[in-house]
Amino acid sequence: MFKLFKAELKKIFLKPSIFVVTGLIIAMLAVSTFVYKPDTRTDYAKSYGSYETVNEYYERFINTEESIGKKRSDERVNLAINYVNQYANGENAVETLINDWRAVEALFNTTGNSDYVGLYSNWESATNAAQKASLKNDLATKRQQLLTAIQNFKAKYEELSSKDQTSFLVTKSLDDVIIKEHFFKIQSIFDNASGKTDPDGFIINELTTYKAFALVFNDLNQLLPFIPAESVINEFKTTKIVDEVEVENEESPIVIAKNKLDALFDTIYEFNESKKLESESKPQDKAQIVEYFNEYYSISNYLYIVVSNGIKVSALSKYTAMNISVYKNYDGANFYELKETYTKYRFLLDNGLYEYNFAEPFSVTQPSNLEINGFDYSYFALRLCTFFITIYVVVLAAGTIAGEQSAGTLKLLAIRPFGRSKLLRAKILATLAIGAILIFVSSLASMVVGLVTYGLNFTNILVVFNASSAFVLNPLVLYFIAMLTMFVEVMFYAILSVFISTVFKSNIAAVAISILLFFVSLIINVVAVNVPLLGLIPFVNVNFFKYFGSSFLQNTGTIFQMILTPSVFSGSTFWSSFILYSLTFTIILVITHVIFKKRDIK
Amino acid sequence: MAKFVLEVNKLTKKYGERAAVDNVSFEIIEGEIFGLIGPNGAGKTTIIKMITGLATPTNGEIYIDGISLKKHFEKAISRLGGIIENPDLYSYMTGMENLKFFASLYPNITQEKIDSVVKLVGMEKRINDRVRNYSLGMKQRVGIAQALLHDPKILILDEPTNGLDPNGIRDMRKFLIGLSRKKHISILVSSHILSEMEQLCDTVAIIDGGKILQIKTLEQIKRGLQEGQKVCIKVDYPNYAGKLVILKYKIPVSLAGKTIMFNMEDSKIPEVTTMLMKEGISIYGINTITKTLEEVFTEMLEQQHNKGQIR
Repeated sequence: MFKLFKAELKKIFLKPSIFVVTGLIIAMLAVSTFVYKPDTRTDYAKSYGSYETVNEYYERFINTEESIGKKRSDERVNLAINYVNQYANGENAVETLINDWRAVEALFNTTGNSDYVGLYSNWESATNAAQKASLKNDLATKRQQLLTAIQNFKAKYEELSSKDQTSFLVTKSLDDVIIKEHFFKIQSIFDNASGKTDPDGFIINELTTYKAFALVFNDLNQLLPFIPAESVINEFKTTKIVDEVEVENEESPIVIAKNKLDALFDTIYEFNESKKLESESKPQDKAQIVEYFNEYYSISNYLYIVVSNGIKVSALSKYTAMNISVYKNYDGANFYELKETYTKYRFLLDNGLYEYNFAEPFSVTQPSNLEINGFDYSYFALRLCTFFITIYVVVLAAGTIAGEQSAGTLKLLAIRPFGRSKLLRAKILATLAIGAILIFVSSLASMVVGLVTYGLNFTNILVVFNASSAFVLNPLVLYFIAMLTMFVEVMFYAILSVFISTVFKSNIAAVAISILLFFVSLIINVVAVNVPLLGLIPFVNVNFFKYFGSSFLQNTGTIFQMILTPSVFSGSTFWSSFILYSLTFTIILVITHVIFKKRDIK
Repeated sequence: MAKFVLEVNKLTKKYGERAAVDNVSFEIIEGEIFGLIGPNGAGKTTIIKMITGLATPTNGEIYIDGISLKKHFEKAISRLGGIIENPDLYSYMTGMENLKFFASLYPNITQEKIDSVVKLVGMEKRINDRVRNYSLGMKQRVGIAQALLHDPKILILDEPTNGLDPNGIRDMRKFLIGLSRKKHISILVSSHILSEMEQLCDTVAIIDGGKILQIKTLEQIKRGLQEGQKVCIKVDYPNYAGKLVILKYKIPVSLAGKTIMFNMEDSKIPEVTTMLMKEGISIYGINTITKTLEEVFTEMLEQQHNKGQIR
């Protein structure tokens, strides 16, 4: 079969289309050098202005309310602490809310004599006038109790839903206008009831709709076992962060960070004291103090991100992506990205990596470092070339059976000493081989152009794989991984197109449908990112590079950028994609073999 | 060495209920030129496709050089070469590149071998031009070349004279006969042009409606035609002459003016004329009319139609 494979590959090189695609690649490389204009990185803008002395820097650090001041940094730490406390309190608040509603329910209850409905039916069936009057009084009292209970509930509900930190615990349906209106309607009925002869008829009618309420509030009941976050809360929890008071959890990241910040502040203070009296400071001293400030800022910023994301991840992990979208403020929540962000900053915090000394993973929208380097450009150019290579491979693959059938040469191939299976395999391998060759050559060429235009910066890159493991990679290694994942992507479209080629007898039909599927796939990847169920479609599980740090990539920008850099679907993981991809790939491969083996060749 | 280069046994191909090929059996020996004759849609191409593995039979066995096509496809098919329908080659490559491509699929086909096959089909001058610039005849020739590269025992040609002019047809015929006589390659040809088949084949199988109606060697056919040959003798006394023939040979005689007509083969004619002359009959002219293969064939088909055997 190797002979057949070599022969098929040679055939591809003899086709005129190879020149077209090579020309396109070269053109793309040229075009990309002009087109590549990523957003500049503004994080870690270390602009402390240019002051004359160290002391002036220090004063700014202490006194200013701008983004890189001590105050703001301290604010972040406090925010982190408040986040923890409010989350814990929020749990309690929701529990109380649920109990309050239960109380309202109890007052309305349809069984027993002391509840409203019981009293009412007694009043209805009473014949004795005195009894009836007494029951009416009881009813009135009960009515008042009910009114009070509902008012209390309403007040608590409104307070709770106005708080940002606990709003994720409140389902959207509670905020439903209709249900709110219903609350008010019941209230107004009670308001109007006093003084009328038989107001209770209205109330009875309302009882039927009250049941609909109960169903809605069952959602709240689901929130009760909101314990998963407990372990995270305990990790972060502190009772009081006050200088003198002992804290509950010495190993909490909050406490460790706070201690580091205190120590760092002492260092800064002493440094300033020692340089205070100089009329002008040496450049290295200025640089030193700026470095301290950055570290200070980083610690507090990372801490807030770790705490808020950690809690969100833990709380939301109990829910499927569909459920999450039910919660207010979590419409667009991408669980994968939350987890990835948490892992990244936790890694930095735990390892004491406060200074900015890592590059970010490649993307087409932003450079990995503060200045554009060759690798950023190369990734961009490679992605662009791969887009066209994929189309070329799709056309090749679609024509490999259907094309030869239309041209009549398939007959000549089929009467050779190879079975149908071998023939198909050789063709598939040849198509994949050309894809691999083109991608490899493009990646080399891109790197060379990148080297020449921007120079290569080998700053290590911090990568978070599958949102759960953070580690440091040489950019060359990541580039190689990028290349591999692009090949894997092409491989999928190739095999799909071969399948179509085997099913359709006409070359034009096969090519048209294969290209159509490719573009449909692109659109789905862009448009449907936050529709959770679509995460199971094979098309959105062919790009594996996004599992190497997708949240770093700002997926905003032009459609063009969004096509080249898809996001991870909330709820997907590297392994879920891997399984879906492998399964789909294998099934298509097997079906193609079966069909090709059986069918007659015209 | 197997007895037959190609053996087809009870071959059937059904599409749903309809049998495009129905219980076809025949054998071809070494060096034989075997023709499949039949009208369009008779099933010739389907039979050929099954022999070459392009289509799977519903039933039946095919053995190439004694090797079962179903069980040992690769081994069996390596003994076979062919062109099915049009000689389609890769139009973006040259003739030589095409041949090199097909040669590379077999072990041990040297450049010398390729060159010799090119010479054999007479394409030395144009072999390095792109196939898209070839005429039909050239494509045919390169097509045959690719079929011969691996020294097959049998060459399969489906309608090889399609689109050729009379010179081309004649050249092709000479070439094929040369192959079978000099190189002992068996050839299976299908066609609906009977006059051609007449001059080319050793044996023919007549096919219609997916079934084989008859298999006869050309010898047998010619003899048969001879037997059906009509002799016309122009005489002065046709009635008398006719009666004499009837009495002696007990065969029917028809009259047309002064000519008597009856079936007789060549060898017996002198006997008749001598007898007539002895009896005093004057003979003014003798000629014979033999049926062509075409007429025989048409008659055969009509018979079958009338028997209701063809749908």
